[in-house]
Amino acid sequence: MSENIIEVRNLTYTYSQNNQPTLKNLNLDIIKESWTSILGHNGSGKSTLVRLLTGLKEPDSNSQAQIKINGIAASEEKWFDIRNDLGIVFQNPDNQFVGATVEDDIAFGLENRNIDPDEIEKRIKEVLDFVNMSEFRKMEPSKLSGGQKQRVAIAGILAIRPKVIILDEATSMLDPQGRNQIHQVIQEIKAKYQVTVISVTHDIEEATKADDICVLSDGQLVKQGTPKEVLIDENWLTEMGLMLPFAKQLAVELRQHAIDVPRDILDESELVEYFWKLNSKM
Amino acid sequence: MDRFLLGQYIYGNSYVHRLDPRAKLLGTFAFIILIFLANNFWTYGVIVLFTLFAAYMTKISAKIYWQGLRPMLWLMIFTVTLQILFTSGGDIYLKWGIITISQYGIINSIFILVRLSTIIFMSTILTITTPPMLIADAFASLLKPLKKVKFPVDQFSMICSIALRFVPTLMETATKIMNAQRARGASFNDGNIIKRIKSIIPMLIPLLINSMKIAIDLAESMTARNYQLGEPRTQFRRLRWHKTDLYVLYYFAILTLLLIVLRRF
Repeated sequence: MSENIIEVRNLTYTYSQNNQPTLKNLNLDIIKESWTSILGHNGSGKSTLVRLLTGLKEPDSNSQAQIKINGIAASEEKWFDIRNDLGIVFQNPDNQFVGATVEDDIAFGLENRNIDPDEIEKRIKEVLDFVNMSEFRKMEPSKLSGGQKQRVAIAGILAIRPKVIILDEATSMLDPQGRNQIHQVIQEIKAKYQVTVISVTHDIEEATKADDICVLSDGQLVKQGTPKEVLIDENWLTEMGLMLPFAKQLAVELRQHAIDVPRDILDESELVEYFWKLNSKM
Repeated sequence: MDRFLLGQYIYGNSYVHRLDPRAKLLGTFAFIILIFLANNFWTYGVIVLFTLFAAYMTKISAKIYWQGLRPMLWLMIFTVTLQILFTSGGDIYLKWGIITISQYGIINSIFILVRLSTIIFMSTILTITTPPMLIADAFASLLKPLKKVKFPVDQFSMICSIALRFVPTLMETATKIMNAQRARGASFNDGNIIKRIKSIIPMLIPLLINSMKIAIDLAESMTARNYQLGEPRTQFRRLRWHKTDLYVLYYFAILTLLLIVLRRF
């Protein structure tokens, strides 16, 4: 059994203008150093969950909610400690840029942690190299593309050497190319640093790349497991208001033409592999 | 508009460009005060020469300075006219009702013209050779002593730098809103001035709502990145005082001396 980095128990949150809670007694475990995708349709409570997991919102006071991150039980005075090892990339790349230039923005999180300017200089260089943005170091954010802005945001978070990185719909405002770049960066991060990546998304293609998927619906966790376990049932996915990954859409169509594609095929390369075998049998 | 709001920084590598922004900021202030020592043709002459010398040191063409001065031209003409028409004393050249054109009037108006144009010239030198963010840094750095009287200098400089950072973002939003309204038939360039101002109002409201949204997002992002009010934080961008920055002091000492000596003539 692997260790959990985040443990959430009985999490309930109600927006003041609503009667119904957005999150209802949610229980969730996230495995240390995994890439976990939190999947759900619009209004399933994903973004609320992110804000609760980062202390930007407090759970309902009358609930028995418990959040434990990296061994620290969350409470109002502990959030700054918890966030020391936590980084979040938000949805809108424009509104999360604090610095006037790329390097200033990366320095922001480090300045907040009172890190020595010489060390800041070193880390800026390191993380900009990592996300391949070194040549843009002195640029203003408004001159960058969406994908570049998100890469800088990720760099700013890597610079603080986090244990957990949360991507809150970080690719939803990007074009396909920008989205792929971000996915690639996540994979590289996973390979180089010992971090847990949580990507909150409604992009099912992104979720297929994760180690673990949590599906939220109506403020509750309805399913958790590997992509192969969670994404196997097409009808259930549609019921949850989720799109099918392209390979699965194709598989559904093919089955109607009497080609029985296995249900655990999630991406194009697996599908192609299957076609090769199919041909050689015939 | 973009240029107007963001200052007119022009990239360069002259002595003036490389100066510590604090030296330039203080210099500009000192200059504005020193101007009041000038009281005759000699001293105003020195002021003009000093300004031209400073402008020459920036290695930036006169054309650009002219662009900086031009928007202020009407203000200058207005002030000069008032001076000519309403100052009396000395020989009177023309008298018509309450309007007199006198010797003192003309001399005074020339002095005022020199004062105004050199002040604008000097501040243009500051903004042309210093990126706005560095001016804000310099300002914050010079305010530091106020910490002793509990003035929140760090917060103040954070506010300034965020404001500067969001100017282009807000300009972009404004352009988007204008385009969206143009696409639905609004026009921003037709009609008289009142009509034009009225057409801006439907643009201001979405812009305001948008900025609120940005502010909320930004606040969340800053909190998520552990920004804490009043907590000690390091400063990545450091201003460094160099030996060459001290020369500014010498230049100003010479200027002051000349002014004090020449004002007796």
